[in-house]
Amino acid sequence: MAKFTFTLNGAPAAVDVDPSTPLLWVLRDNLGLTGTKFGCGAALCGACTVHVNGEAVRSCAYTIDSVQSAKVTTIEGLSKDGTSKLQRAWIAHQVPQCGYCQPGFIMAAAALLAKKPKPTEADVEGSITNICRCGTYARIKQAIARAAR
Amino acid sequence: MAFADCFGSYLCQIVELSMIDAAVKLHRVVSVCDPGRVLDRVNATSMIEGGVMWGLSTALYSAVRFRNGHTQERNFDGYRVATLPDTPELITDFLENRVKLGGLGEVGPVCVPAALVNALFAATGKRHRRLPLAREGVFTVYGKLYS
Repeated sequence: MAKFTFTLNGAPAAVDVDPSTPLLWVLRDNLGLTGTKFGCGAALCGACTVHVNGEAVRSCAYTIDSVQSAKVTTIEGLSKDGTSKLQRAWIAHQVPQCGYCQPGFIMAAAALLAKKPKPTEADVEGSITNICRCGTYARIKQAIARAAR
Repeated sequence: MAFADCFGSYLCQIVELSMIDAAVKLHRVVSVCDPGRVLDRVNATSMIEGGVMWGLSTALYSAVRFRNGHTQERNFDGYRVATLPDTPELITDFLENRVKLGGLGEVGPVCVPAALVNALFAATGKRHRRLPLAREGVFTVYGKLYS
């Protein structure tokens, strides 16, 4: 076990866990933030996407020892009440079906828009590589385009 | 194009594609479904749209192989699915002619593989009889990058 401190959604956070613990389980089990989901466990599907120092990372394969002193943002920290421009666009296009993968998609899209406020279609296709088994991709593209307007 | 009478609904789908350097570029999938009556248009449209992506996954990438009673595909690295870069424009509409209410949940994927290989035949003159197409050496522009 070891102590780790970092900034979580703008507030200080501290945990005492095994250094090899994936960030995903620290967020969910130790800190109770269950908006970030477990999908494949192998960084293939993106359901666990969060931001570490502004970069979208797949937290199931990102150990806590890489997070020491970092700035972590989860879906809970994207806005206080779920009304960020991106989340409003998501609602306007009625994107989710089962919804399980959607926090990961929104975090991946938020990281993209933070870097490229007006992404091209190629930018979106190149950076949103998450998997949605309900197949909501067409609406995800529309929602990102709307948020970028 | 392909047509089916399935899950109590009629479904017709058209796949529009072109070939770029021997790879498939999907442009558009048009789906028209007659489930008798559409109770919630947004939900119904989403069901068909999602179904199209299941159909594309099955046609292009996904297969489960068994050996000694176990599936060989254990995660999304072996079991590929269609993702955002493979998503074409999706146009979905409904007719409301059938007398009894039909299903919408499972209908969406049904004609996609047949419509896709028919479009491939129209584009290349070659008939494909086995799926997934990636195992037959047919890739999308995006799939080719990661094959």
